[in-house]
Amino acid sequence: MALINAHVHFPELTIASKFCLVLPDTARVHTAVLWLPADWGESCDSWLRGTDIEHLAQTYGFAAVLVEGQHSNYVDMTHGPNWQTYVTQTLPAYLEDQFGLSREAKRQFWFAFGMGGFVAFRQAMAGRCAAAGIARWDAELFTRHLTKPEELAWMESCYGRSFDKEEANPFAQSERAAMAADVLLMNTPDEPTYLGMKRLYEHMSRVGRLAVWHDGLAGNAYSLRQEFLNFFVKWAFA
Amino acid sequence: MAYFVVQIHSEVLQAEQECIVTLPDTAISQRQTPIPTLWVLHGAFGDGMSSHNLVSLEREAGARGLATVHPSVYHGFYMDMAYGERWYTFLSQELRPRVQGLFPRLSHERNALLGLSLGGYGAFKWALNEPERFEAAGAFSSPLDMRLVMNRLEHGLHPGGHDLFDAFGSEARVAGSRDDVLDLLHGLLANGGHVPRLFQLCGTEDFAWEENVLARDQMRAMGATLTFRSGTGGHTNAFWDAHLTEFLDWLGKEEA
Repeated sequence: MALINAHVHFPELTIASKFCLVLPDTARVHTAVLWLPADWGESCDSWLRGTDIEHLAQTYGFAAVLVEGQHSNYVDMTHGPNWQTYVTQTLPAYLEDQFGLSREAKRQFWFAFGMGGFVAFRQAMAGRCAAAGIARWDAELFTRHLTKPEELAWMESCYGRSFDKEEANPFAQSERAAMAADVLLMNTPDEPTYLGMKRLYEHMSRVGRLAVWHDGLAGNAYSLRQEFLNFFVKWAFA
Repeated sequence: MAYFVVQIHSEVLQAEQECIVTLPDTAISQRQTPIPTLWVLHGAFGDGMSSHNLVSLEREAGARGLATVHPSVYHGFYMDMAYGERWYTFLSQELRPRVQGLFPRLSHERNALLGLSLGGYGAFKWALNEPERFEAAGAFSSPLDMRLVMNRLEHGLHPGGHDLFDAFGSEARVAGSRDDVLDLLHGLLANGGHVPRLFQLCGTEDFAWEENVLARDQMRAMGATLTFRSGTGGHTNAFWDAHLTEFLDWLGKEEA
């Protein structure tokens, strides 16, 4: 295995991007790719510090791509860089071209903790991956009534003045999905986002999406990240 | 340029190792072309970061569509050390194929070497040991005749000390071995073998100036075609940086 810390400038993003790769040494065209989007404001290497991702990649034989998205919800921001295009199109094309990683949907897996849930869920509902695992995610962001000025300012920077709730709302996305991938939703009862995720899980079951629920034990974000990642990897790769 | 810090576990060294890789932006726009690669070797006690710190290298290599690879051998002198690690085996047998495996767009056919200070010894040595693998090698202010260095060291006439003994052992150990750059060159020329193009640079105020002139004259006396450049300057990054484009232009021109 190799660990690669990368700094690449992509015109689509308009800023220099950082990402990390955990790669098997040999041919990767048939290798599964696990995408790990960082949480709100985190660096891409947070997965290296907070989990044993290198060990898991070696054990299960997948490549891991660790990306970051600042405070973007991984969308093409109205007032900011095009994070969605970067993470879901530009970077996969670059990695296929430069490192031989597959872009086939059946070899793509997403695992997210927090904000990365927005891109992981979107990819799963669009059928652009084989499976997604999402933990501690604010799935009801678009159905809550936002009142705090900083929350409204942030949403406006991401989605514009009158952001399209239906377009971005995971409840609506799951209804519209034509070729959705399997989704594993995970949370702990002590977490404020627990009920929202649970309601999304129940909603998905009602509209016929294949969703699996996992209750974690209460703990700090670091230990939970590892616990949920372990659970997802076994569920998806074992 | 895209910049990558690569960490691998070396089976040869039984230790984690790091190197830097840069890819030109043309790697994005001209996707099907294998990328010619310049392997850049740092000086004694340096690492891949110190060779990457040659200020204009990333810009000038990128402008020419070259990838660069910056291995780290620290205090290893590009040697399978007499008393120490097998750095040369790591570099030539393990790191090169692994980097080329990790970055499949790197050309296997179009490779060149550039060494700074002691790295130039590593560059000439590697190129002359594997002449079919490298088109060219450049040595900036480099001790190329390690037999002479060890002879002087053994007679108290050369600065340095136990580190050189640890790496090379003795003059006798170097003589006629794969670590003896002048002997390797002589062997290739005598047998009519393919010799990579060679470029040597040294500043007239460098402490290694006389050594460089001597090595140049010996190589030319053997019949080698060697490009030699000099200028006012010492054993510094600033001097090497000022002359880098000369080397890159030379590399590009004769390849064309």
